[in-house]
Amino acid sequence: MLLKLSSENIEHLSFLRELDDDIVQEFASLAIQFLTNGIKSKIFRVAAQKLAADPKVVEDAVMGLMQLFSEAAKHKTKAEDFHNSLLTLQFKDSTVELLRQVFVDHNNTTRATLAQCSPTLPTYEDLEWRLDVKVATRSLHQQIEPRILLKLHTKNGDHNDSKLLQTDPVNLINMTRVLEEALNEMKTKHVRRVLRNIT
Amino acid sequence: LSADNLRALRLCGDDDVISDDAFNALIPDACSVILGGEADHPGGKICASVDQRALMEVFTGVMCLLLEAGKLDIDEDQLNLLLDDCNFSSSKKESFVSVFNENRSKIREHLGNIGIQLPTLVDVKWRLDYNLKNSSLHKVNELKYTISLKENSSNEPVEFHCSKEELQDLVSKLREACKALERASQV
Repeated sequence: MLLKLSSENIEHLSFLRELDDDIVQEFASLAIQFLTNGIKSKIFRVAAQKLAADPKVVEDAVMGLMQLFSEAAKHKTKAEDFHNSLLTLQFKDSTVELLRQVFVDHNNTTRATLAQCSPTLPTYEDLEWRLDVKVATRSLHQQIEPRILLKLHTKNGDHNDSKLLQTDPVNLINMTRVLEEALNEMKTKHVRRVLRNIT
Repeated sequence: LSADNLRALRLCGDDDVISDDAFNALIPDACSVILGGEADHPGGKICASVDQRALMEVFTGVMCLLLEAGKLDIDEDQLNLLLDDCNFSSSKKESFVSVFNENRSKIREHLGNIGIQLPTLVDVKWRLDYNLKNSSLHKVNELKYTISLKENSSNEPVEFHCSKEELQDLVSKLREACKALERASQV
């Protein structure tokens, strides 16, 4: 499926037409870096000075490349389709080839970065558990009460969190049984049919 | 027991202040207050003729003894020794010990609920979704579990996503904990 580039995007990318391949390579690497780590505007001014160009034009070109790579990653575009979509830009063949290569090399990281942008709950990281027996408290001596302490580690983007929970044997066994049922649900015919037919 | 409590119990042992009948009427009320009930007139009509200040002191002393005996799970012999020290008549001793034995486990249960409690996990819910696409990424095509852990406090349930492999990891750790529990209970 070919990418649909907006006319604004095409205009921003046209600046790259006159540049040498190694400069286009640098711009492409910058675009990938900015996609993962955020934009550093100082770099636009420095690059513009070196090329004797307007910083705004440089910025537009890099943003244009970022838009190009993220749209391609979003639609899971194949390398061939990516290549063909660039033909409208009237770049040199070598430029098209190097952009295609950058896209292929970084497609997975770009998709991983975009995945973090969707609405999502924290993701499971780890579970630590501890078995205790409560033997006494200030109010009551000589007790025997088993208690299980659970520490749940989750991750939300860059933010790691951990939550301390307590439970008793009955609830622990119930929880294990319920979650085992959940796992077994994945193996049912219904789920496999959905996975096979909806893509 | 504190000096105040001992004094109150010795007062209780004094048959001139609290008769056997008055004591028999008083002690069930003491138990019910400990277990969460209310008693506006401890001992009812029988104790109405007793000096009210002394009655209150004795009532408090009896409750404290019931609580301490429950807390330490005192056996009958020790209890009888203590009541002897406070000059309890045999009828009062018998009455106290029998009411205490009857309510021993309830008092201990009640005391056991007082203490440091972390929020306890009481329920778990799960949901399996097949994510097709989202606004940032098309063609996601991933199965994803959403797990919700409910606590017995007013906190919001703890919710998180996990993939099949992550859920397998979670379940295997829970199974480990269950096995450890089983082994510990067999010792």
